[in-house]
Amino acid sequence: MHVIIVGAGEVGWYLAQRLGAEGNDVVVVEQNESVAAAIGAELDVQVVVGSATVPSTLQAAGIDRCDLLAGVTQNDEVNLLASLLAKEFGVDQTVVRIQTEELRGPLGARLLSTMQADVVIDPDADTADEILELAHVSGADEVYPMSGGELLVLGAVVGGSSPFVGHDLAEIGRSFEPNWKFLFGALTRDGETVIPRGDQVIEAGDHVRVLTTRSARREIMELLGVTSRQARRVMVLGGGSVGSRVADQLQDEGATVVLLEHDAHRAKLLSERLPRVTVVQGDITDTELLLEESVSRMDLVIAATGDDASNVLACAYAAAEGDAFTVAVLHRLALLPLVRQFGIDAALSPRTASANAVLRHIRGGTASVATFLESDVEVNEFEIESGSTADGCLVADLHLPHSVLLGAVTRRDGSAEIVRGRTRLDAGDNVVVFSRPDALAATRKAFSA
Amino acid sequence: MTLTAHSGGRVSWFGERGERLLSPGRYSSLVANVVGLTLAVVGVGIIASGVIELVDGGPHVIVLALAGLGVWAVGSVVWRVTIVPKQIRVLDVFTTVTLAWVAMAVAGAIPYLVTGHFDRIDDALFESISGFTTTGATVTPDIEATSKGLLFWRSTTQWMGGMGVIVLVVAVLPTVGSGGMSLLAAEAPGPTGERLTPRVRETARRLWGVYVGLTVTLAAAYFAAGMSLYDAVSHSFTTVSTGGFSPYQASIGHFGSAVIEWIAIVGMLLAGGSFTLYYRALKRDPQPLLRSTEFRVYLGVVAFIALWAFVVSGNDGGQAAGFRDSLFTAASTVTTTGYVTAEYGLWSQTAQLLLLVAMPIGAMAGSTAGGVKKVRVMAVASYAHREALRHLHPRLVRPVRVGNGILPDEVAGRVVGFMMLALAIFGGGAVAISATGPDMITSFSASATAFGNVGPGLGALDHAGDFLAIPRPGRWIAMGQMLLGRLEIYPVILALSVVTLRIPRAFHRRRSVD
Repeated sequence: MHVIIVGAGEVGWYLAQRLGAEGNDVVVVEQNESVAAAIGAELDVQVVVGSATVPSTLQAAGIDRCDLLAGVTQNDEVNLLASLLAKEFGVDQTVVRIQTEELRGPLGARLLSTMQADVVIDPDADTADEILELAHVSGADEVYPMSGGELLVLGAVVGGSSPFVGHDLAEIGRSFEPNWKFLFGALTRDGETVIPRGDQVIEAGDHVRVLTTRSARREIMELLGVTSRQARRVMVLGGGSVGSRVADQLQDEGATVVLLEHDAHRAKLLSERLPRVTVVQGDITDTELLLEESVSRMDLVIAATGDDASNVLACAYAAAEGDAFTVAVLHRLALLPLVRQFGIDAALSPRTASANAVLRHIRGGTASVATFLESDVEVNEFEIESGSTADGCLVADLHLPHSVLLGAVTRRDGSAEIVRGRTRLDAGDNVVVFSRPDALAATRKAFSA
Repeated sequence: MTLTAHSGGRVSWFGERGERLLSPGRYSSLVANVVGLTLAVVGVGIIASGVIELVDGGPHVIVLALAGLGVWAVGSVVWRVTIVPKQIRVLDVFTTVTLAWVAMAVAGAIPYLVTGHFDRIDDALFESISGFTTTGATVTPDIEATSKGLLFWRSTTQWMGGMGVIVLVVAVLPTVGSGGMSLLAAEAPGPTGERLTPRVRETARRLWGVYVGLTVTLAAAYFAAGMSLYDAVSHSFTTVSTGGFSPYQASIGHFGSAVIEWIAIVGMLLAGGSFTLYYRALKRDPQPLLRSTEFRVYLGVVAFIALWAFVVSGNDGGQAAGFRDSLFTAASTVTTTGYVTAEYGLWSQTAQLLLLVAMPIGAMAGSTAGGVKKVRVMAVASYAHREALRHLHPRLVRPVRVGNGILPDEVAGRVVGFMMLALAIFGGGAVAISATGPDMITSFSASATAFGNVGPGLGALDHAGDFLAIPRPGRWIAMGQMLLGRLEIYPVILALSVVTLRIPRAFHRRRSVD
């Protein structure tokens, strides 16, 4: 597949990396020469320097044989124009990043349909959604809804009190016969992420991703030895578009929300837009202010400013002063391994949230995609096509590659179950699969006719 | 006097192509122009009363007609020889509005004097001011002994003052440009200077259109309910304007008719709502009215007071009130109309106190009611709430809200300032009136009823607003309060400050020329 990515910002960079890893031809169009040089040096992609609103630039990027164009710059107008031009050139699919909320709503629907954009993404909205998922499954540091929300992939650090500690997966599996409610999809220890097999022993401090049904999520968190509680008192640090959405939504759900915003003008605007949220103006790393707003008594602290350092510092302070669950938004993924040392419970990046939406679309048949922040293990969802290898086949007989783990299946009637070797797959079922990108092609082949 | 005040520019007579623009001798003065037109309108009103007197066969036809013609002539001449300047200054607006009202009050007192109804100028002025400010307090000892023409004039003053003569003048003036809206805002009750149309003249016309429409509807309803045509028109005038004058000593209670009382209740409640929102609702946009928090609070307060009087009063050391009487009195007080059907002086102390508190607050902004308006009280409540929260969150950012609307901080500050002034005028006025003799409750209610443009009060004032119980010096204070209340303080104070600042400066200038 020939892919053109417009804009080598956070989202564009990450998309280029993921798509390149899957063996696509990726061309990045970037206006800023130094950014273009940097991405060209680091990733195996072609780079065209120039504006994507100029047809000749797009031609240089190979628009004539392009299958997909993703306009993911910070600028809505550039993204829309690039998408429109791409459609004129006969590009099959386009992805447009739009940050103006009104354009994404009913008032902008006409424009978007005129533009024929296939996917509209907004990293901030997606990030806000992920933070809200975290708030709902408190204790988890990652939550990815799959199969329309019936299944969840939960990320958490195994606590010392967990009954799993010291046992291998085969033993754990035996103790939960006959029906498994969960499945270990990925395990990270000392910075290494593996797709675990039956002989994998769980230790306290392991970071695991568990696939489970939504209804069993509390039980699983308990089994993992993670303390969870409801977020009644919430502090949101940073009133940008992520922070304000999260504050608004949590307040609607009945929590008491204090929102800190540095900029006086923005704070005023927020106080007018969010009548029931307590808006306070000040610097989020001002410890006096955090104490003044009783950060130590919070259940949940979310740092969502544009500045990674402030987010980490504020969360670290909150973690030290009280026992709040802390969530930090990080724009630079490289910082991620450091974050847990500061007592920060969960970190997420706007780029992955949106990249997931794009990947989901690119893969056509897949319904949900989750990519983890620090590893290359992905969770994909496929529909089993009639006449494919998997149709009517038992999981044990499917002989998938070693780096692929079949996690769960959602039947056509909407019921979901964790997959066993004896589970039979049929056409129309949706399967959730943990895999590495290099094994993706083989996996997809097994499910398509 | 005002002719030369701003005669800086004598306007050119001819345009660029030599066409005649103006008749010779026209002066550019906002004050003179507006005052002149106002007087002309007042003159027409007096003539109309003369006509009523003629139809009724009363004794004062000639004097009323002559007085009316005189006022009309003076006003017309002043209006004719002046034009509205292109640039209107803020101070001019306040001076104009205040002077127009003073001129109106003085001209309105003339009929009472020339017919011999009052011997003293201050009595005539009191009746006139009480009329134009839609207060409805009176110093007439025997209302039924007064001739019908004069009583009609009494009602007419309230009708003119209700929507505001300035609004009418702006509607009539051919060329009011940018400054017109500030004229409206300076006179209109409540802090909303909202444009209904891009052109201010159209806005003024529409407001008067709604006002006249409501008057005609009410008159028809009263007439259908059994009033004579004269009574129906008189009462519709004083209902839509929330004035409260009645040609009968017993007010609406004179008719002893449940239907008429219900019509009056509905009419008063309508007059206490925003005419701007009515206009919109008539234009098939009822949402702003139905969603208005102030409208709901206003109706809620009426219901609360009525229910208190109806349910609690009888068990609380007072006389039980009938349901209709309770509702009538609550509506009459909250809308600052001042009609009376019940002996509310016999109600429980709490019920009476509720009435007293409701008086200076009044009804809804943009209505014809007096008082400081619900919206200002709501703004101050939101302001106080914010300041209380600031103790918990010292760096809190929070706007002052009224319903779903947001008051910018500078406006909220102005509202708080206004409320402090209002409180000072209400409290200070009560103390001053009390110093002239009356007891405490009478003094307080006199201050409340005058500043809130209500009419009747408590204590010695509880029978259809008879201010004869207040000594003359106290009545002067009440007159000031009525004007301050109707014009919502600032125009009067600013105009006074203009006078006190300009006069010394004028002396100073003269001296330096010498």
